[in-house]
Amino acid sequence: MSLDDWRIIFISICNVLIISACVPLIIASLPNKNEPFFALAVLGEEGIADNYYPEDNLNIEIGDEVSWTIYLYNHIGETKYVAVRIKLINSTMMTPNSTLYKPSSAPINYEIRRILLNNETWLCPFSWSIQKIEFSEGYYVIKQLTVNDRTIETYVNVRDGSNIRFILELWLYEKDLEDFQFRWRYDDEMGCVWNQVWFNITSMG
Amino acid sequence: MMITIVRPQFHQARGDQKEAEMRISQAEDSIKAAYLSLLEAERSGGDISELVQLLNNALEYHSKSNEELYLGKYDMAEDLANKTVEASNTILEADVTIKVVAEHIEEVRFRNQLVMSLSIVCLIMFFGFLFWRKFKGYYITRMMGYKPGAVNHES
Repeated sequence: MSLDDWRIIFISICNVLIISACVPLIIASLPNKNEPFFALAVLGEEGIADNYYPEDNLNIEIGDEVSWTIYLYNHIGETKYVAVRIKLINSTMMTPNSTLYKPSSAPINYEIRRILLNNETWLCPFSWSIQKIEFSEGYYVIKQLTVNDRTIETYVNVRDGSNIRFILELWLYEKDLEDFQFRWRYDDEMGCVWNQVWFNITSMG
Repeated sequence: MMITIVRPQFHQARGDQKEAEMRISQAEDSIKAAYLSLLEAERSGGDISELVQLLNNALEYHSKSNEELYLGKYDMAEDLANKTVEASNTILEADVTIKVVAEHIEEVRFRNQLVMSLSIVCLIMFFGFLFWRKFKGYYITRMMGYKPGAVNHES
C-alpha cells in the first residue's frame, strides 16, 4: 500500500472516532420517540384477569358485592391528568366508538380521577353492588347501586336482567380545550381506550 | 386514590350550598392550573414525582369535598375545597423553583456534554496527528529504505 492509501485509512479512522465522540451529543439533542399508548383494564378480585364474579358466576343477585381492580398504565410520554368514567348500560345502549373517538352517550355513574406520571401503573379498587331494582313501564329498572361504599342513583332499563355491562372510558385532560376528552393525543398520534365487563342479574326484586 | 361521585342527589337548597359549590369549582380550577404547571416543569426536565403525589392528595380532598356536598355537609365540603386550593397553591409555588432548577440543570448538562465531546475531538486530532507523523517516518524509513531527511530532500 502506498502512503496515500495509508493516509485515507488513517483519516477514515479519525473520522469514525470523532463521530463516535459526538454521538452522545447528537442523541441528547434528538427528541424521545416512543410509541405512545394508554392501557386500561379491569382485573378480578385478586388483581388478576380471573375471578370477576362471586363464585365465578356472572349471574349477580341484588346486594352481591363484586370486587374488581381498575388497572391504568400511562405510556404517553408525559404526566397525564386522567379520569375513568364508569357507566352502567344495558345491551341496547351504544358503546363508545374507538374509530371516531366518541364516548358512550350513557350518563356517568361514577368517576375516578388521578394524575399519572409517565410509565406509571396505578391500580384502583372498584367494588360495586346492585341495590335497588324496580318495575316501571314494562321494564325492570336498576335504580340504585353502590360503588366503593357510596350510594349512587341511576336509571337503567333491563328487560330480563341479562346482558348488562359496566363501561369504563378513559378521559384525558387537554390543555387547549381546558376539559377532559375521550381520547389521547401526543404529537401526531391519537387514540382512545375503553373497556367493558358483562353480567346478568338473577333476582329482580 | 381519588374518587368522585358525579351525579349527586338533590338536597334541599341552603344558603351555603352555593358557596360550597363555588369553592369546589375553584378547587377544580386550581387542580387544573397546578397540573398544567407541573407539565411545564416536566417538559423542562424537572423531577415532579413528589409534586404529583401532592396533587393526587389534593384530588383526594376534592373528591371528599364532592362527597360531603352530596351528603349535604356544606361546611365540611367547603373546608375540604379550601384544603384542595391550598395544596394546589403549594404545588404552584414549588413548581416555579423546580422549573428554574430543571432548566439550569438541563443547560449545564448540555454544556458539559458539548465540552466533553469537543475535548475528545481535539484529543483525537492531536494524538492522530502525532501518530501520523510517527507512522509516516516509520513508513518512509522502513518501506522505502531511505532516511526521512533524504526522502524529503529528494521529493
